[in-house]
Formats: sequence, C-alpha cells, structure tokens
Amino acid sequence: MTTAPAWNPPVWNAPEHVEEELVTLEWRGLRYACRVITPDRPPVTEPLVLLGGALQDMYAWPRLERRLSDHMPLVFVDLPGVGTADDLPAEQGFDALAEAALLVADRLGFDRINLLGASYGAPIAYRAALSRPARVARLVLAGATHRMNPRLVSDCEQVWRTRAALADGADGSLTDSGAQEIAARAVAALVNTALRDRISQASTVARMLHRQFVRVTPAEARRHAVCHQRLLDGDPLPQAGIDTVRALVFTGEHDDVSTPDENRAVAAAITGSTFLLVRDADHMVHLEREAEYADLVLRFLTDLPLDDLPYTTPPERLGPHR
Amino acid sequence: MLEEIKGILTAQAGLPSTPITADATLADAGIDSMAVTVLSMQLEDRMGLFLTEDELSCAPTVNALADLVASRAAGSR
Repeated sequence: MTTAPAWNPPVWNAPEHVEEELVTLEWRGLRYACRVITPDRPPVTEPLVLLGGALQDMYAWPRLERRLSDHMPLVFVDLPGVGTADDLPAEQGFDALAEAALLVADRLGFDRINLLGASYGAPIAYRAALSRPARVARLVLAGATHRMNPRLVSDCEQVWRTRAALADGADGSLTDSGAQEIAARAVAALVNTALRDRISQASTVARMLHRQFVRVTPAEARRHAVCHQRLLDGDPLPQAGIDTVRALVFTGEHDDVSTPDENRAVAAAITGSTFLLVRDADHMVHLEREAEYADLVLRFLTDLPLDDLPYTTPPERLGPHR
Repeated sequence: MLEEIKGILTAQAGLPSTPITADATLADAGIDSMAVTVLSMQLEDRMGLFLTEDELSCAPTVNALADLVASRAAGSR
C-alpha cells in the first residue's frame, strides 16, 4: 500500500504555454533589462517581480520559472550591475536599485505586483515595498538580514584578500589553480559546510557553485566586489518597518549567511508578517529544495495557508499585529 | 542508455519525465546546471565514468547525450 504524499509541488509548465518578451529599460542613463514570461491562461494572482542574489541574472531561476509560470506573469530582472545591465556606480546604494526595480512595474503597466527579493535582492525588495507600499500586493523575502553578520564579513574579506594576492596585477585574471582556490573559498563562505550532512543536495549545490565561481571573469569579479561593498556600506535594510504589505520572510533552517535569527528580526519589522524556515536547507534553499521553494512561494502568493507544511517549521507571526 | 539517464534525471535531479524525450534539446528537457551536475556526479558514482558538466552540456539533444555517455562507457571497458 502506498501513502499519498502530504503535498504536491507545482507542476512544470510547458514552454509552449507561455510567451516570453525581453524588455529593455533605462534608469538615470543606465541600461538594464527584464524578461517577462506570460502564461496563456488567466493569472491567479498579481505579476511576480523577482530580484535575485548578486550572482543571479535573469536566467538564473529556470525551475521556479517552470513551476510558477502557469499561474502568473513572471518578471526576471537584470538590475543595473547584474547580468546584461550596465554597471551601477559603487556610490549608488540599495535605494537606487529599489527605484530601478519599481520602474520595471511602471514600464510594464502593472498597477500592483508581488515582489520577491532573495539574498542581495532582499534589501532592494524591502526598500521598494517601504517606499511605495500601495504598489506591492505581497512581499517575499528569502535570506534577508538587516546587516551582514561578522562571520560572513570576515569570510568574504578573506576571499577578496586572497584573490587580490593571487590575481595578475594587469587585468585581475587568475591562474587555473588560483581560480580553483578562490572558488573553494567562495563556496565555503556561502554554504553551511559544518552541517552539510543535514542539507538536501549539499554536495551537488557546492559543486555547481564551485564551477560557477571558477568561471568568474575579472570584470564579473569587479562587479561582485562592488555588490559586496554595497552590502557593507551602511545597513542593507533600514530599521524602518513596513506596515501595510502582506509579507513572508523565510530561509533555510541551517542558513549561516543570513541566519534564522537575522531573518526573524526582518520579519519582526513588518506588521502581520509570516516567518518560517525550510528544513534541510541553508542560504541556497532555492537550489537545495527548489520544489518546496516554489510551492511555498505559490501558496503565499495565492493566499493559501502555510500551516502544517512538512518541509517547513511552523509559521510564526512576529511583526506587530494589524 | 537513454532510459538510464532519464532515470537519473527524474529520480536524482528532480526533473519531470514528460519533457525528457530523445529529440528534445537539453533546455527543452529542463536539463539545467543542477541537473547536469547531478548527472556528472551520478555517472561517476554508478558507472565510474568521468564526464564533465561541460562535456555533457554540449550535447544538442537528449539522444546525443545518451550516445555520448554510451560511447564513453564502451570506451572504458
């Protein structure tokens, strides 16, 4: 006798059931772009604008795209400083990026959007919701923190110092062995190596990230350095709370890049927000438990209950109550 | 070999089976970076075959991917 699964992940949508459009944008003279994926069925919720991590461009969410694209329009953005976009000057902070993100909704004619900010995208999404709450139907923050924790700051500085020592002075390129060493250090900073036995797909994710880091060009490394500095210059998230936007804050239960307590503190600043942790995952929860990630996001964006999910901790209501 | 690869991609890499057809491109079959990484690791663990993610990603179709793995397996005997 077989037991029915307690939940079913959103099924993959077929590419022939969506339309894809590449839209170019301009903000203060900087060119950037987004991909708009529109289903051939009526949407069940507002369009979702996704703002990913510093290493994620607008093609970095293939599985989430397949799982959610049947339900709502999806907008994947290369904000200035990411992917195909122009570089963003270092002196421009997260408020500038939030402005550029909201311009995407304006340009596409969306009155209200769902907004997802993951990791480096979280402060951008938070600030966008804070500045124009009426435009944001629901806010999802994954891997969010008010400020980088000392362990991460120290690990990242070590990576940059080592890279500078190993790099060719003229163009910043690395030898093969240098690239391997930097990749190993960068991966160790981003995944929870101490608890890898408790993390789903840990070895696969570590290997995939390693390969990605080995391929980083000197120009990309300079962009990463600017993103890193932006995270250190002042607090990524302001202390000001949000009180009129429905919000979900979550991360992997073993996240040591933005810890559960740091994410919990972000949730506590948002009135009526929900906070939970995805089991058997760390900061790379979108890779480690992609089906669960998609299910959780879809449930929240379609106002389904988040109680009793087998892959999360019980939802906590932390923010001031409405 | 096609069925064996399909089995790895569905059971270990979490892909749905329907799009994984012989003539499908890797992109249409949903074979992304994660899936290629899983496949490379599984081929090594199960069959002792060393095929890098770059080698696997170059296959134009799922069938070509299966042929590549089959020829490498034949060469290793």
